[in-house]
Amino acid sequence: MIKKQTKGILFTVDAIFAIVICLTIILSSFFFLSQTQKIRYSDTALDTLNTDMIVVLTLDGTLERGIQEKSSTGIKVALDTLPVQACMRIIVKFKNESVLLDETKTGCTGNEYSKKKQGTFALNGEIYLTQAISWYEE
Amino acid sequence: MRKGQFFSIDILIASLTFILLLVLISYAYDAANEKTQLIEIRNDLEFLAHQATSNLLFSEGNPSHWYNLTVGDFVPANISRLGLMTRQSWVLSFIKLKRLLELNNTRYNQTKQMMGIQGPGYEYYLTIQNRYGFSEYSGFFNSSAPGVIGYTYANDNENSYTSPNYGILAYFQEKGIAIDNYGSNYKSLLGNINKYQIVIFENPMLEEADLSAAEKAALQSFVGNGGMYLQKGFGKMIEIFSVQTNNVAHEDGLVVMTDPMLKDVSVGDYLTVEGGYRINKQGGGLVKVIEHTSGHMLAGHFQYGTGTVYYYPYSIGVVYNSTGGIKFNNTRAILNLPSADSSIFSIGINPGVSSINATEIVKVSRVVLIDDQGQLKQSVLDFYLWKKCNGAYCLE
Repeated sequence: MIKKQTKGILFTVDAIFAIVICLTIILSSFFFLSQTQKIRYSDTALDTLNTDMIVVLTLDGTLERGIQEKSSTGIKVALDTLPVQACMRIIVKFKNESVLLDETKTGCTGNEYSKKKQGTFALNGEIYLTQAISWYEE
Repeated sequence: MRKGQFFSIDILIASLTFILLLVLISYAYDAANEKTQLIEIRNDLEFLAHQATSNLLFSEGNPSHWYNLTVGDFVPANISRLGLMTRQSWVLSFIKLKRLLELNNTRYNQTKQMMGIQGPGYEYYLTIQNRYGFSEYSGFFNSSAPGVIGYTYANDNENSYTSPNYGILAYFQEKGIAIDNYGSNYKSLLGNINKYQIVIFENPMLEEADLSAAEKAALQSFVGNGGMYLQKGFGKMIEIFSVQTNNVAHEDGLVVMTDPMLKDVSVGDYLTVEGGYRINKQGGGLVKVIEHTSGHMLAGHFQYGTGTVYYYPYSIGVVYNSTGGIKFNNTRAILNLPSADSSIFSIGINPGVSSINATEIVKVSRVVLIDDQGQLKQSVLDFYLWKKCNGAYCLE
C-alpha cells in the first residue's frame, strides 16, 4: 500500500495570536488616527469668556442696574448672546454669600465640568460678589 | 519538482501576511505623520488667533488714528499694529470696525499683516454680533436684527407691500433683512406683539372697530411701554393713538425738517403721493417731517407713552428737489429703512464657504462692548483663523 503523501500545514496558536494582535494594533491605530476631533472650547477659552462677561456687565452698567432693580433681565439678555456651545451662569451675591441674582443662559443645563471666575462689585457702599460659571453644552 | 526549488503554502501565507503588515504600517505611519503636522498647524493657528484677538481688543492700534488714513496710506509701513479699542479695554470703536469693513475688499492682505498673521495660507474671518444692531445700518429703527421686527399688511387689498408698488415688505425681502412676516394675519401679530421692539402695519386698511378691545389694549400698551409702531398708508386704526386722520390723494407734501426718519432729502424738497392721511393731533406733539399743503402732517412721528408712532403715506409717488427736478420716482426711497441686517458685521474670508476648502479652523470668542455713537452695545466677537488646504495636505 502506497502511503499518500500529504503536505503539512502547520498552525500554531502563538502565530495566530501574533497575527491577530498585529492586525488589531494596526487597525485600531487607523481608527484613532482617522477620528475627527470635536473641537470644544478649551479651559482658557471658558476662563476668558467668564472674565469678559464680568467686565462687560460691569462696564455697561448692567450689573449696577440689575442690583438696583433686583432684576436679572439684563444679565439674561447678555448671556443669551453667547456662542452656541458656551453656557454660562451668573450669580451676584451679597458679602455674606446670600444670593441676590442668579441667571443662566437659556437652554443650558448643569454640567459637571465647569470653570468659575469671581469678581467684586461695589455699589452705594455695599460690596457684591459676582461669579461667572461657564461650561460646554454638548 | 526540480532540485533546489522550494514551494510551500506556509511560506506564501507568511510572505503575504508580512507584505500586508508592511503596507498597513506604512499607511499608519503616514496617517500619524499627517496628524502630527495638523496638530502643529493647529497650535500655531491657536497662538496666532489669540494674539491677533488680544491686539484687536486691547490696543488702539499704532497709530491709534489709523482709521483716518486713506486707502493709499493703509500700508504696513504706516501702520505697525491694528487695534479696535477705544481708550477703554473691552470697548471697541464702531468707527474703526466700519473702516476695517470698508478696507476689506482692497486691503485684506495688509490687514492680515498688521494683525500679525503671517503663516502660509493663513486667512482670517471676524464677525461681531449684537442683539440690537448697529445704528449705521438700522435706519431710523433701533435695530434690524432677526426677531426684532413684526410685520403685517393685514387687509391690504391693493398689494402695496409688493415690489412694483415699492412695498416695505418687498424692500426687506430684497435686502435680506429677516423680519417676522405675519402676512394678513394681523391678529396673530397682535397676540405676539410683546416679542418685538418694532411692529409695522403696511397699508393695513383696518378701522379701529376691526380690533377687539384686547387687541387695541395690547397695541397701546406695546407702544406706551417703549415699542415702535410704523404705519404706512391707509387704516384708521392709527387713531387709537389719539390722533385724527383725513384722507389725502394725489397731493403734495413739503420736507420741512431733516429727521432720522428720512434720508437723501433736504428741507425744501417736496413730493407728490398717491394716497395717505393728513394726521392731526389735538394738543400738538406731532413731529411733522413732511407737511401737507394744508399744514397737517403727511409723514412724521409722535410720542405715545414712552414709545413712538411713525406714519408714512404711500410709497407710490415722486420726490422732487426744491428746483423741481425729479430725485426719486417713489417715496420709499427717502424713508430711512434699515439697509442691512444690522446685528452682524463680518470682515475677512468666511471659511464656511464650501468651495474654499478650509481646514483646521480655530475660533476665538470674546464678549466685548462696541461704542456705537456713544452707546455701549454688548457684542460677541468671533475671530476665526484658518488655513486653505488642497486635498488632505495643506499647501505650504
